[in-house]
This record gives sequence, structure tokens and C-alpha cells, in this order.
Amino acid sequence: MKAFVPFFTKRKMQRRLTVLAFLSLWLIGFGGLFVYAIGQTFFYSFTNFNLMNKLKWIGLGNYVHLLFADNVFWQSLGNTGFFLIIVVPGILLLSFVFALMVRRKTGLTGFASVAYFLPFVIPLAATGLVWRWMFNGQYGIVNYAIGLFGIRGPDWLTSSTWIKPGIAIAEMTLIGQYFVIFVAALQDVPRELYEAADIDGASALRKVFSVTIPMISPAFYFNLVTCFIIESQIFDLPFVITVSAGGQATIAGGPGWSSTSFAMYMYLKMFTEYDAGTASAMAMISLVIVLGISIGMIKASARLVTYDR
Amino acid sequence: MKKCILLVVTVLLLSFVAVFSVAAGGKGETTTSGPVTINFWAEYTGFEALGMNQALDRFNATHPNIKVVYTGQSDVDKKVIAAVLAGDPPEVAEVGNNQNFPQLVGGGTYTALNDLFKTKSFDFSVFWEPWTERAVTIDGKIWGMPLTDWVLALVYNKDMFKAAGLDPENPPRTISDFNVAQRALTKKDAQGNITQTGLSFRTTFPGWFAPYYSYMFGATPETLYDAQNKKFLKPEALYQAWEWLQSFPKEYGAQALQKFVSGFGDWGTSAEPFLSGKMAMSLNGPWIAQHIQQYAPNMNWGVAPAFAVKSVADKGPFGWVGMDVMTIPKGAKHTGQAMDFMIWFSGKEGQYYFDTGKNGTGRVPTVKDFGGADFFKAADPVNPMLNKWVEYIGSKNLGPIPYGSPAEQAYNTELNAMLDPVLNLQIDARAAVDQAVARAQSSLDRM
Repeated sequence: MKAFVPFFTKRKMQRRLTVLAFLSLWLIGFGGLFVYAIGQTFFYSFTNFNLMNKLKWIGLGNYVHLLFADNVFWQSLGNTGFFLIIVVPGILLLSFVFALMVRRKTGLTGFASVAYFLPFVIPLAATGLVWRWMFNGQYGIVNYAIGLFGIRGPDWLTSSTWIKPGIAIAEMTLIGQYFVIFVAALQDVPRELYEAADIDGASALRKVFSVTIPMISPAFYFNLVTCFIIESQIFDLPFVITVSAGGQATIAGGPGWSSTSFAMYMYLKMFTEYDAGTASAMAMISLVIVLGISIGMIKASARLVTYDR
Repeated sequence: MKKCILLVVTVLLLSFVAVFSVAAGGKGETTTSGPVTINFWAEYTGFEALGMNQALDRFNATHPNIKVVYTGQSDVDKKVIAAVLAGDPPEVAEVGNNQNFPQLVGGGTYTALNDLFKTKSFDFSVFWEPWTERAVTIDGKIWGMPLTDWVLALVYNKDMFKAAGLDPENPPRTISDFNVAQRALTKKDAQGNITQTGLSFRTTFPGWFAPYYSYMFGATPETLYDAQNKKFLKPEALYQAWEWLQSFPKEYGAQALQKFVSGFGDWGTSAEPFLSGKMAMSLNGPWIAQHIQQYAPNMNWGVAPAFAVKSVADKGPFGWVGMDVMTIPKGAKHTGQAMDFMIWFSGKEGQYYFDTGKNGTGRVPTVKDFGGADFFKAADPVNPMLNKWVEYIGSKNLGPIPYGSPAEQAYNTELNAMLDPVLNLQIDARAAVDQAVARAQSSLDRM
């Protein structure tokens, strides 16, 4: 016969209150800055709020307008999709390859580690200004470097074709945080596995695919999700690179919205046109998309990520 | 354990008290004795703030009962909205982007000034007419005072004109004249790359006011916007302006122009194309004098009315007119003292200290009775051509920016977004106008 264990005891209550007391600061911050903010945004997305007027409920008006009557909304979504498809794999690949390279301790390891991490710690506004000059069609170092191979570089910032690839290249230098996580994960791979692979006659490439990647798959998964969430909100670098760039009209996003990201368009709606209702609807749509894809990644991780050692 | 919980709760309570005490502390508190503090927010920073500080120092020295504290910052409109919503706005604020002015007024951001004018017995007719009252009057009420006026005129490099075989004392007056000058001033190197041109339309100046180029072809605010029915209109002048813009890439090559402008530096830097000798002309306001003084002090430059079609140019000096506006945000505390300051600043003495002297801004004075030749002499160190801009602001043949639609920012954004595709020959000019105006109308309909 099982002993009766009361649900509420003085001791349990004390313990729960202690936990609550320690969590309270975080809960207040989370509730006030996150839950309340999202709730308010959700509410505003059904109104015509422009920060200054009296709120008027318009139901799904903002959503209908965005989805069926705003071609720039779809263009910004497409631009963001482009960045996700190119930049996320690019960042993961580069950070993984560089992490593999610094795994071998040489005289240059320390310098290389700092060099790969440095772009991440420099403020993006400063980085963007530097990239803007690096991409300058006439004087930029990028076209100079390409010119050494006999190729005439494009007009990166004034061309609607080349501005997105240019921004993607700039984004892919931000490998710092992912590089550090891969380096840490690589150090955790047991040497015996590599020794066993050597005995089996595995090549270096085979060891990477059969030992390294499966063993650091949790790090890969973490970096993938983090990178996806960050790049889905891409704003700082493309905004600074394209806003009032030499030769551009004074709106950010390149010629004819060609590199306007979803977050940039949302910013324009909110802070230039003060259309808080539409911007809130865009935020909600973004939440649904990112949440949906993140859930898909979580489900896929069950099959692809190895946690057992 | 009890002591632990007690300690945590005490720390939390103390934290809340500390945080809310700091948050509740205001800025610019006044004491029961001593001067009333007026907080003034505007977007004048860097060397442009020197004139502002010069004027404010004078005001503070001559008005012992009022102390103006100035904060120069960017995005002042957004900050004013946030401050008004928080119930703690500055007493005086500049309108950072005057294309948003009608929308901000409609949203209740500012205080109407008509009653304050009555208490101060202030006569608005001291300002340049009809532009000043037009710029600050919405729905029959006055919502601001002019901080400074500006006219966008043709600024040109006389030496480049001479080198191209053009008469430096006879700059283009009509669109046809301009097209001829543009051809003479456009130079190419041995590889066929453009190295110099008369005027390029991608740059910050004049690119930012491309939506108002239709004035050059005879458009007026009434033909661009139907205020009664809240409709953006598409007069033929609007189409003609954008077809004229597209004529340049058609004549000189879209790729060649694209390559040329890709080397331009930013507005307000030494790499700006007019200051660095890549462009012989610029459509600009009186602030260009400070930039020339700073970055191209040896330039031999001139100012003339902007060019337009002959029927417009024949009516008198043409250009675009606007002003930086001072307002009293809704909920501001010391409105009487704020009004005293604004009346002083936009009056003869305030404009003198703001515009003239080595640290002056060289801007156009807001009042008709500004002091004439003495004023120009005092402004000479910073803007030796100020008399030209002052002459033009007296003209009735100017295009106002903005023209008064509550969705004017959306209109400008949409047309500006079309500028590069039009110049890149990616879209027909007329189709671009139709698309942009349709999107702007959609924004207006949803307001």
C-alpha cells in the first residue's frame, strides 16, 4: 500500500516559494519585456494604430493588405529567403572548416582564432560602413581583388542584381560565435574514435563525415537554429550598407527594394511611415514563419542529432 | 530558508524602488526660484550645431528668466513621439522630417499655437509669405514656427563651366538649356568611362527630392494632390519629369552612369560628387556653403534659380522651398516661455546669431526684416552667396516641400524606390510612376 503523500506540505510550499523568489526577477523581465510586448503587438496587428491616433479595430485588414495587395512585402520575404538559403549554410560551412583548421595547434592558431572571431565583436554599423566602401564600384578593394584575375567586378551597390550577393558575402564574415562553438565541440570528440578510424583505414575526409560531424551534431544543430533565427531578422548590415549609399536614393534596401529584408521593410513601415498596425502584422507573420521552421528543425533533430556517446 | 526568502524579497523591493525612482526623475526640472528651463530638441549636430549654440548662448545671456538646454540628435520625430506618449516631452522640438509634418499634426503630436500668438500679440506676417504660413498651417491652425527657411536652387562650379566652354555667368535656366549644358559637361576617359557630368540624379542631393521634380514641368500642389477627396493625382507634368530623368541613361548609357555614380561618396563628406569635382552642378540649399567652406574652400562657385520648362522659368526665379519648423509638443510644460524662445529665435536677432559670423549656419533668415546688407556682410564668412537664396525666397514661383498630404512620406518613399530602377532602365518611367502612386494611395486609404 502506497503511503499517502500530501500535495501541499509546508516544506514543499517553502521550497516552491524559494524557487519562485529566485526566478521572480527573470519572470518579471520575461513577462514585461517579452510576453506583454508580444501580446501588445498581436493586438496592434488588428488595428490601424500609428502611434498617435486613437486605435480603431480593423480585424484582418492589415494581414489581407500585406498578403494580397503589397508586392514589396513578398519581395522582402523573398530577399530574406535568399539570405537564409545562401548565408546560413555558408556561415555554418565556413565556421566549421575554420574550426577544423585551428584544431591543429600551430604557431598561427591563436592569431587565426582571433581573426575569425574579430568581425563578430566589431559593431555592425561600423562593419557596414567599411563594407560599403569595400564594395565601391570604382575604388573598392573587392573589385580590385577580382580585377587581379582579369575580371571586371560589378557595381555592387547600384545594381539590383549584385547587391544581394554582396550583402550575403558581408554577412558570411560573421562566423565568430559559431566558430567558437565548433572549436569547443571539436575538443570534446574522443581521440579513440579517430584512432579506431585510422586502424580501419579511414581517410581524413571519411573521418570528418563519419566521426567528427556525428559527434558534434548537437553543436551543428545549435548553430543551425541560432544562425537561422538571427539571419531571418537580418537588418543591421544591409541597412547600413545600402542606406544613402553613394548613388542610391535615400531609402535603404538597394535599387527598387532589391535587397530590402523583411526586418528592413518592417522598420520602414514602423519608423518612417509610423504604420504600427502593418508593422505589427508583419511581426506576427514573421513569428509564425520562424516558429514553424524552428519546430520543424526540432523534429528533424531527433533523427539527425546524436546526443548519446 | 525563511531568512533567504526574506532577503530575496527585500532585494527585489529595493530594486523596484530604485528603478522607478530613476525612471520617474524628469529632465529639466525647474526650481521655484531661478530661470525656467526649456528643453529644445533638434537635428543640428556637428559643425551645423555651431550656429545653433551661438544663437542659444545669446538668448540665454539676454533672457535671465529662461534657460534653453539644447540636445542635438538624429530621428528627433520618433523621440518626440515617444516623449509625448510618455508624458514628458521637451518644450520645443524641431520637426525632423517635414514630409511627416501633416501626419504628426493629425496624430496630435503638437500643440496648436494660435492662442499663444494671441497672448503674446505676435504677428505672423513678419515671415516670408506665402511659404511660411502655408508650411505650418494645417486645417486652419498654425502648428509651428520657422526655425530656418531654405530654397533649393542651382549651385554650380564656375571653373568647370568655363573649362567646358559654357558661360559661367549664364547657367542653365530652362530644361533645354540644362540638357545642352549636361552634354558639354559630361566627359569620358579613353576607355569610355564617364569621369565627370553636369548633374547626376542618383546622389543624396538631389536624389532625395526626386518626387518633387514635377514642379519643374509645371505641376503644383493642387495638381499633385486632391485634398478634398484624399487622392494622389498624376498630372502629365509628373510623367514628364520621370521620362526626363530616364532620358539620361538612354543617352549616356545606364551601365556607364551606374559605374560613374558607384564611386560617389556620401552627402556631407569630402567625397560628395559636387565637392570632389565629379559633378559641375547641384540642386541644393544654403547649407551647401558650409560644406564648400569645409571641404572645397577653393571652389569658384555660383548660385542661380533652378532650371525648369520655359513656361515655368519665365514666371520668375524657380526652385523648391521649405523650412525647418519648431513646434511645442503636446503636453509640454512651459508653453509661454517656449513661445517666447521661438519668437526670439525665428525673429531678427535670433536669425542673425544663427545664420551669421564664422560659426553661423549661413541659412536663409525667416523674417522679411532681417537686416539687409549688414546681415549679408555678417554672413559672408560662411555663405558669401546668401543674398541669392534670400532673393529667391521672395519669389512666388517656388515648389513647396511638402505639399500637404498626410501620406506624403509614403508618396516619397514609393517614388524614391522607383528612382534607381528608372535610371537603370529596368522599368518604364510612366509605369514606375503608376506603380509608386498606386502604392502611396493604398497607404493613404488605410490612414
